[in-house]
Amino acid sequence: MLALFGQGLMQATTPLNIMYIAFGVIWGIIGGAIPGISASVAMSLLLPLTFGMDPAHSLPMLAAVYVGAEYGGSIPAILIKTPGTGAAAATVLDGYEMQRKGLGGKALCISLYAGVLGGLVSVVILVFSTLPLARFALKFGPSQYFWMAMMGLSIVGAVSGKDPMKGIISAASGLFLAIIGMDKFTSTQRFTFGVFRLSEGLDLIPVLVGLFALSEVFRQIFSGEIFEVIRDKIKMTYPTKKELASVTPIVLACGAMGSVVGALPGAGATIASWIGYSETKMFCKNNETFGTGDIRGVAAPESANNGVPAGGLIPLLALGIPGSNSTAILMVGFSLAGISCGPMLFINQPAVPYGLMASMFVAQIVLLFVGLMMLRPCVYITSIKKIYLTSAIMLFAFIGAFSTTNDIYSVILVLVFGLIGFAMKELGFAPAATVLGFVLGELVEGNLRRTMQMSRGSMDIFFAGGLNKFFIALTVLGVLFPYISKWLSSRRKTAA
Amino acid sequence: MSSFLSKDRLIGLFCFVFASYVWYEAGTFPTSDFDAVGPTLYPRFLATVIGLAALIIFLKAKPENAAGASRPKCGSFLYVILLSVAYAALLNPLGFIPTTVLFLLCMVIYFDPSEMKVRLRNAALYAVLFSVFLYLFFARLLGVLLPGGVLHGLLG
Repeated sequence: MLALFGQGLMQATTPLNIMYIAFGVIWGIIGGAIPGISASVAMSLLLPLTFGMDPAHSLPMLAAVYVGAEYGGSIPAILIKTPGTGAAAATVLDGYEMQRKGLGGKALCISLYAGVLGGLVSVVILVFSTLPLARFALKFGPSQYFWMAMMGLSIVGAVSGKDPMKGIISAASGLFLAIIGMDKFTSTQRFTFGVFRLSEGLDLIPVLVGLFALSEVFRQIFSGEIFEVIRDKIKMTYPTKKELASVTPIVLACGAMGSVVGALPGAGATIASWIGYSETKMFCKNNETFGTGDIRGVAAPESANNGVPAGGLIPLLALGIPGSNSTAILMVGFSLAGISCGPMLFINQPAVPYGLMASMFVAQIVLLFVGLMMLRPCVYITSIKKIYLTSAIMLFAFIGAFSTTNDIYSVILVLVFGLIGFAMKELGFAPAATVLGFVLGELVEGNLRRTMQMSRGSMDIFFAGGLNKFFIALTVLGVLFPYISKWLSSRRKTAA
Repeated sequence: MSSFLSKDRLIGLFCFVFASYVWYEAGTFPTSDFDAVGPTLYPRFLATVIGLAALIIFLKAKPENAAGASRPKCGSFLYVILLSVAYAALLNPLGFIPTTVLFLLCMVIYFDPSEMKVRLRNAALYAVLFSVFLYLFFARLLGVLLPGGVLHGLLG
């Protein structure tokens, strides 16, 4: 395991790879620093460029975007009280208070230090936990894979929409989108409406870029956010060594917690950062200063959300099941390179997963240097008029879509899915769950039909065995979780 | 809108109609002797999930309270949609650089809150420089086949 990681490290530290990782980190920081542009949007905009690239470069670059964006989100959260990503919302509480006291630079440095150290802890957990999980997953058959994908989708669907039922519909709609085109088992045309181009199925990139990036642009225009102008003055100050040392235990604990949360389907960086913040506040002495500009209130959520990217790779690499939208995009990056994620990857091409893990490690180190160099430019990015950034994102989306087929069909497709994603957001649905469903669609249907072919059409096989029952229980729990947590919180309120 | 047909009830109804369509359409797929399961079962499974969730949304929807909702910028939104459609339509005949310059000019002039003189200068500079940068980056550096259009001879 460590020997393979060492080989991966050799591969990840070639000058060309470091260049790609640095580009990914910079792209991620810029994306994260623009309010409304999440890690998944930044990754989806870069995804078309990876088409035809060597996977030894494209996958580390995409993973580096994820790493950079989780840190980048804290920049506007601290400087202008606007979290760049959902995960940075908890950072606003103390980060912006520090900025108001003229300690914005110190808050940014704490965020960077916590992010890098939290990310490194998470990579260590990734390296040691993925192979045992992959070995265990070798026991899985098609029915277990079917239920595992259903479990992931039900949890993501139920927790990501405003209403759990809307989340479930979002995920099922994603699975439906994956049906469109020629059936791989019988060559039957399904839901193509006589359109020849649809017989090949929907292209991943325009659907992804439309649902993630363009829909967000449309939402900002519709809500009037595009007219907002930022005029805050920013002062740069830096933390002392003593301050950095004082937050280190919190950073290590929250980084490990972020890794575990990242590995759970549907949880993600936003939940990790809130858990990190609230648990640190609960367990720390002198916690009355939280919310008034306490450096621990910046370090805890930032190390937790930076622990999530490496944690998210655990189920993706070991099981071939992405648990979040960012890892779903990474899975598309794998499939564009002709590589299938899952336990067999560790047997057939072990250099790929370990190369990616090593790249995540290198990305954290690169983030430290790039982050320090970009402190001042990022301050500038947050004050650019939104129209310039928004129109640039639209053009990246159009060109990215165009580059996949070199014709207007993909540009129209990206526009259509941009509008669908926008409508979904406005109506309380979850485009992220749709994307996850779309990416997992082939795996779900393929395993469902393979299982039923094995049982000659009988459904009993889906309910046989302890593993199936375990995954079914988690799937049901995933759907019921929002209702249970609502019931519990209402009971708590009544008791209080 | 009457209180019975609230937004969520309409959403539930729409999703149920969509699920019904998927169920019906899946029934028209031909069966195959080589595949015991067939292409119909899975879409119908999804239609059932969507249909049931839609029914729950419909049944538990409450009358909505429109007070306090922020006013959306429908005009700006429609303007951007129209611009995007025009961009897709003109990209091939006009070419990447002219279409992108026009798109950026229209976007910045409409949305930049600065005074008109500054806005026009900013828009022109940004549109030309950013379009050329994008062309050089994507077409020359990454090899994306962006349409040359009216500048085809000039760009080579």
